[in-house]
Amino acid sequence: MNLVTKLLKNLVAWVLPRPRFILAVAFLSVFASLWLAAVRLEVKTDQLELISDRHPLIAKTRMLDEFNFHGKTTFALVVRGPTQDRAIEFMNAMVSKIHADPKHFQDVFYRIDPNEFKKWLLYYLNETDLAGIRSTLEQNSTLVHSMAENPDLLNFFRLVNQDMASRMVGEFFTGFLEDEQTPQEHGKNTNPLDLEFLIKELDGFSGYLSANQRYVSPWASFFKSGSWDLQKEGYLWEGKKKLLMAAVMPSKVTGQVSKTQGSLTQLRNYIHELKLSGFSDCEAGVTGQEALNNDEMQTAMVDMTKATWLSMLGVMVVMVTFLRGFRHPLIIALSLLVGLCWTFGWTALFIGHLNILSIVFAPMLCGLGVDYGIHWFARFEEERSLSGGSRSSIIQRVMDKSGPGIMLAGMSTAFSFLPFILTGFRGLMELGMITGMGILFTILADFTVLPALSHYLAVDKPSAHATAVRGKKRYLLRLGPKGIRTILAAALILCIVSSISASRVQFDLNPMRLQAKGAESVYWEKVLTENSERSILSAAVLTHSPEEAMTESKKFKALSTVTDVDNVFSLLPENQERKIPILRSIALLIPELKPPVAISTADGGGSNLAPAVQDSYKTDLIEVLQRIRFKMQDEQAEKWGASRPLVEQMTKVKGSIDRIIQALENLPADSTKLSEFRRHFMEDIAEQWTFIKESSSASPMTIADIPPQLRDQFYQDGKYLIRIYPKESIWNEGALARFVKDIQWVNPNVLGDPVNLYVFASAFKKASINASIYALIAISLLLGFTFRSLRLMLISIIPLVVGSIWTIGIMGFAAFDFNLANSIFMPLVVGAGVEYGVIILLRWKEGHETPGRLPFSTGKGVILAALTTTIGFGTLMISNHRGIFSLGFVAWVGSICVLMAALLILPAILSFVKDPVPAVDKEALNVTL
Amino acid sequence: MSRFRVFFFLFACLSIVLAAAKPLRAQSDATAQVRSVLDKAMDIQTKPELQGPEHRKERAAQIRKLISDNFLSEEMAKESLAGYWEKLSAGQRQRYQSLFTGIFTDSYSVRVLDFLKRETIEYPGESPEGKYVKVRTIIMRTNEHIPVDYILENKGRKWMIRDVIIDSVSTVETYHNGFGSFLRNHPFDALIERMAIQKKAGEEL
Repeated sequence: MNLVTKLLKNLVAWVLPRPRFILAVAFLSVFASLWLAAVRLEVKTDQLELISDRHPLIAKTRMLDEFNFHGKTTFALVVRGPTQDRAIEFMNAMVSKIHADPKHFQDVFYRIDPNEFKKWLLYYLNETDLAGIRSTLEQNSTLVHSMAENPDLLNFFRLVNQDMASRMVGEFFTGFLEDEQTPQEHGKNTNPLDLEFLIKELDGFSGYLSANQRYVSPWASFFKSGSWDLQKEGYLWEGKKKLLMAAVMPSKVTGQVSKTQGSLTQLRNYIHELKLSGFSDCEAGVTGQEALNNDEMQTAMVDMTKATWLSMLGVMVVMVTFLRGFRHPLIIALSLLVGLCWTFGWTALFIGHLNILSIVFAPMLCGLGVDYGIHWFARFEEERSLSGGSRSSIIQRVMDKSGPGIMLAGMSTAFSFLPFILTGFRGLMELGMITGMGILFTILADFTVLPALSHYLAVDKPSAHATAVRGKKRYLLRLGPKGIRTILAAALILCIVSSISASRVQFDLNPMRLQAKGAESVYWEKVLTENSERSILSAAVLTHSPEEAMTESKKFKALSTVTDVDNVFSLLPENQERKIPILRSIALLIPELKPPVAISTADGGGSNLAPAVQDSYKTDLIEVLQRIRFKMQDEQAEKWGASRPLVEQMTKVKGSIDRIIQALENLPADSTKLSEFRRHFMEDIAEQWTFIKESSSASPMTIADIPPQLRDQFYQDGKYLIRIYPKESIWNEGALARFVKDIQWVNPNVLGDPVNLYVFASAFKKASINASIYALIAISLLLGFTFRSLRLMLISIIPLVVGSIWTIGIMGFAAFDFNLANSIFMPLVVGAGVEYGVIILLRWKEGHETPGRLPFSTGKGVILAALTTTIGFGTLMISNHRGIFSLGFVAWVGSICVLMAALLILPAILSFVKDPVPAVDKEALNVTL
Repeated sequence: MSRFRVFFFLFACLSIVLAAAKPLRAQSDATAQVRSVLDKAMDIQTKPELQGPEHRKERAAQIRKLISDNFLSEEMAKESLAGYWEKLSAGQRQRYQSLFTGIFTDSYSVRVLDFLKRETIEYPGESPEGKYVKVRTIIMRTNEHIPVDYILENKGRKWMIRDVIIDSVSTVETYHNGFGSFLRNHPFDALIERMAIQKKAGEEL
């Protein structure tokens, strides 16, 4: 310490004569630091990079990039509509906007072109569904063949009417025989009446005639299979087809938080615009890792800016209150600000970025770094009060007497952070470096800027209050033997109760629970998780041959912790060979479609119809629709025992027919709507016929036939990717460990999000524990070197140990678990906890005190320092980011606990230790801190 | 032209006119008969003193009588079993005809009771159908209508209905298809048994 004292003396001797120069240098360096931070400082959001940018898993994980949109960053756009049709409409509108904005978006993957796999669509249906289609075709062969002969709208309605009339009369007169009728009767539909197909057609027709003029194919309801509606095929559905997905690839545009933030904001603007322009019934949002990272960092940045200013303000208020004036708190705050700016500059220059862990350094530094200025001015006021003199002489005395103590306190705090470097966990290493260096910069500012500012601004006349209390020895704590025993017993009981409560504290792995509650990306990620049939996160492994892919997939599938395994072969339809006979029999049931001769001027279908021909067609159409309507005797049907859904369908049919008749009757003579609809209808039939014919005649699908956009997710350049889905929730620590260990047992090279999370969480836990141990060792060494006594060194860390036990106990009572954010609370409070112990011990070491008593000035300094520290940690609790909030809460509770332990337990314990200097002439002795 | 020739020519013309006149008169009679039956049915259905569910049985009795008086149920029964009729014994035929008459009358009565109100009925015309006459009617309602054709046979003093074609679907043909389909998988006795059950159920309506 003599060396330190000597160095400090020399520094002060050099600084004090040059206050103007010091302040000018400080101002310029602050300006340079801020400029550096603005230009160079980035925010990194990648979770794996928090471990280490050289971690082997990062390189391996990059191998998966080519299977995930070729490594492009993506946002997940999620759309939920009242119906699938509305969701598709919304998605298409969004895609149009995205395509029209190349400044913000590179591309969007929202659909696999159904035409690319249309030929094999029937292969994707299971055998039961295929048999159902065959049966539908057999039972409706009259309709099918008649439509093939004359694929016209009027003919369609006539056939429908004929079928219904036949059913109606049959039901009236021979219904009592029906249950015994053979269903195989050729061409006769003996299935229960289902009007869904007719309703679809009527609704489509009615809608087309009214306003929207969008043709809707009814054939999906005829075959009772969505596969028929190619307009709806190829979209990326999730959650039992309730959520429509798209992967949006943003352009790299600079933003406040990241290069993709501008695109994210723009995407959300588009969603908002669409909702205001006719899509108020649809919901949509953006999520995915990139959006989550952006939102997390955005929230954290905003919160940390607020927390930093709030911390500064809180510290100022506390200082003004305790130091009874504005000048000294202002000097301390300015000095702190300079230290903070230097830290930003240093970080920008040597690290270049902040991460989600290190982003909290600023408000913490406000709380921790201000302590030294407070101790400095506490001594300044004492020196001014006791001995007076010029500002320079008072500053000189403060530096001589308190400088080493302040330096030791600062060094011990810095030493609680700097050992983070030894953890090897990059996120913590950077936090340790930044905060540790920040403390050192703060001390440097306190030994240069603060004296220089004090030279001009410090109050050199004592206040009336200070004069009044001069010469009186005051105590913050006076403990008698009974009080000492009571305190120690209470502390012990609290430790036991806390230990029991601490057993309830778990480790929560779920990073989703760290995110801000209101964040849009978190909400939609939760919606996706809750609605998906299987985990949205999967592990992955690369294989190099089809055989290896199949063998490995089987092994993974056999694991009890695995629910599903996908590879490129999973994209092919199952049991293709078994389906061939059914498909070929379907092909035979499809007659050749006659050319659409109906669409001719003579028949009334052309767009250049003679008005009389169109009128005649219209009249015939109305006539047949009226005949269909007559059969919709919903009231009577209910009386005869028809099912409720059928009765409702009848009512719907009547309504649709009424609308169509009205629209037809009001159709202007020159309107082409009817002929256009007929043309669409015929084209639709031709398309459906061709589709069924081709699809039922197609050869089995091979990997080469899979649309590239889809195939690329599983197969590239001879590499076969296997995706493995966990059975249990991987957010449960035990389940994650079981899943990862199981799949690693099958193949140690497994990758993917669950593996990353497991490795990250394990590394983080280990690093947090190591950081605490390293900090404790480093500080113990420092204290051992300072006190040159093992006993005093151990006593000095008692507040930390006891305070930590109490803190975890309170976490148990408050139902707070350790998580990926608050696990670092221990190393954070180590510095604070030891600082209080050091200060109390140093004062005790001066001797001359009655056992069980804590001098007022020491207690005041400790309380003031602790208050500013708790403000630093406490302001983290304003964060919407729940991880930062929990860190703030735990560190805040921790710092209060170690303060209480230091103020109450240390004096009590020290009463049992022999006083180094007996209590004599107490009033005459100076107080060191 | 000799007088004989003139006489012969006039006779021929008269014969042609008379021959043409007979069906014309028959057509109007057949239509009148259908109109009369439908008017009576609508009268029964709309009589104020017979309104309400409590008078349904009374109405049903009157409708049944109207059907019995104007429909050739036994002929319809025979035609509904065409191709099978010849194989039946006299007793089977009698039992079958009796049940058919009951079932048809019940079924038709129920439809009339449930469907027919004071309707607007159009009579677009009639046409010969072999030895029978088809009378076309259309029940007109707002935004809906249904064509119902009646096949009538002249039974000396009266035109009798022997088939009703509802929207192009013949009742007799429906029975024929239904019975034929049933008998392909079941013996005749099963049909009789099924009809007997239906008859009993119909009586309770």
